[in-house]
Amino acid sequence: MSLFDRISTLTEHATRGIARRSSRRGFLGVLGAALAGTASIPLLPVARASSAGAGSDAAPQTTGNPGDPGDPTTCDYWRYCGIDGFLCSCCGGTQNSCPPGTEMSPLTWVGTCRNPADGLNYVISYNDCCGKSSCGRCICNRNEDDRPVYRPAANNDIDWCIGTTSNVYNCSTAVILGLATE
Amino acid sequence: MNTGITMIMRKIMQKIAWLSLLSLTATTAAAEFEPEAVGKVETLPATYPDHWVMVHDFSFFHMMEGEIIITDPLAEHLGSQYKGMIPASFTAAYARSKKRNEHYVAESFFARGTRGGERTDVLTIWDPATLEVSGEVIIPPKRITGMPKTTMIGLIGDDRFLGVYNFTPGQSVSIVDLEKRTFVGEIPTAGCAFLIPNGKRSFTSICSNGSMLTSHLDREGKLAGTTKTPVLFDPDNDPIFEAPATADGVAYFPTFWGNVMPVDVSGKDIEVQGTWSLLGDGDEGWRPGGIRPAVADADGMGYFLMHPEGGEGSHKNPGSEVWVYDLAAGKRLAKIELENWGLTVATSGRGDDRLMFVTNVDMGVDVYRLSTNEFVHTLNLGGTTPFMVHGAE
Repeated sequence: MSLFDRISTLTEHATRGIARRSSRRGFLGVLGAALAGTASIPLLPVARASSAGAGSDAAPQTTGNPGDPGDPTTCDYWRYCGIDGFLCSCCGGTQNSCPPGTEMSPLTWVGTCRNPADGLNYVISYNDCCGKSSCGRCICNRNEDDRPVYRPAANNDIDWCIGTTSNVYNCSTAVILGLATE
Repeated sequence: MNTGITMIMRKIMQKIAWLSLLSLTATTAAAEFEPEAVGKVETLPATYPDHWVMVHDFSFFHMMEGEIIITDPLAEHLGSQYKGMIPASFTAAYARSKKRNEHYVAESFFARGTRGGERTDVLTIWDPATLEVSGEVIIPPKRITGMPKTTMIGLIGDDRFLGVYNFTPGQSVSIVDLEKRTFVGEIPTAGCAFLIPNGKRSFTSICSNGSMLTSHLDREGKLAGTTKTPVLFDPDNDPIFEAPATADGVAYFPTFWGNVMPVDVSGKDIEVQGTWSLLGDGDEGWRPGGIRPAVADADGMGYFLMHPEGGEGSHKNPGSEVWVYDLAAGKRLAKIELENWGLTVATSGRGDDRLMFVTNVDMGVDVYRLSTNEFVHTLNLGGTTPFMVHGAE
């Protein structure tokens, strides 16, 4: 669902703050890290436990398209600037398709992300894949342009498995709808 | 031949075993046990101590298996911290009435489990002493599912009614009569979300344009009328969070950028009071954030989970400090530097026994004593994602 889990995102500065003030927990020692723009976004422990992308031994992958840069199994992939949930790219689907046997929700929220390859902003539709339990891999929560639930068309806390056979959430995609107009 | 030897050997071994057993019983004094009854099941006190809390393990990785864990947060031993558990299926919403002395769980079930099938939404009523179901009311299969907010469920009319927020994405509130344990009806709240109970028998929803809609119920829980405010805040540039810290009839809504919008909810029609800022000199860049960034305690103090270097998109970041306010005066009393970064803040207890709870980023629940603002210990209750803690509210 473009659901949930705050269990992530600290800024680089905040991370240094943890190291400074909570060193007795050895916090940084257990964090996997992903890069989002210039800021370091460490995955917190629950995210790390579910991560088969960032911080794992798996080899990085690409889209094969130089105009679509980055690794879709990591949280820092440019399309994921407002995603919240398990990345379908790690769950049997891709950044724009659902895993076998699940169903893509026709309803969702849309955000805008900047493609570093051409510097242009694209409208991204964060459609959820539904009908099987939580994938549990590659959890990712980024909240650019996210607004509260009372602005549902701009919210990633809602389980968007709506209008599907099952409301049960499996993972999230990030489908390019087109160029954003300013 | 071989078979005969084997049988002889087996008999010898049996004799050795018997002799060993006799020897053991002859030389070892038995511990004294009364025969114990089979089938014993524990119960809890009908009235919980004020400092106990209900920890909602959201079970983010297995959402059908959410749990509400009744917890004594000051107990020193693992066995006495965990008092019992109530199941809470599929991103459930939890409420408790002290007046009616009941737990309420709004939850969803699917006939074919995670692959769907017919959906049934239920308000399940639990007895606090036996932790057994004491009743259930079927409600429309429309309740919102997603990350928990305290305003997804609410007690209305001196706990006579309970409302559940629906999102299909059409928006409405289902009303349950808790006295009759029946579903009363569905009240449309088009364009407006959640319910914040107000006045004698009303509830208020937050609208997408920054206004608020108040729905008034009659004595039977049916819609008697509505009131809508003008635009109160800017939902694009400085939106209020979905759930306030409520004390003494005033709901204090923090905003993404660190302001507080107080809304008087004591009367039939709500009244917005003057906005004030959480930030003072030298606080630039600090913002409220997390899963549940604001809560009040039983004495009317407010607690806000704060993170540094905030900006666009940081409103769900964990916080490193909790800032404490005299809410009525809009005055900061303290900054509590947290033992661990946290995502949710909650309180319980009264007076000198007040406690604060912070669900930390390791998914433990950190306990602080508010009389001294000192960290007590971390509760690890066995759940995986304890996103919400319910105490004093």
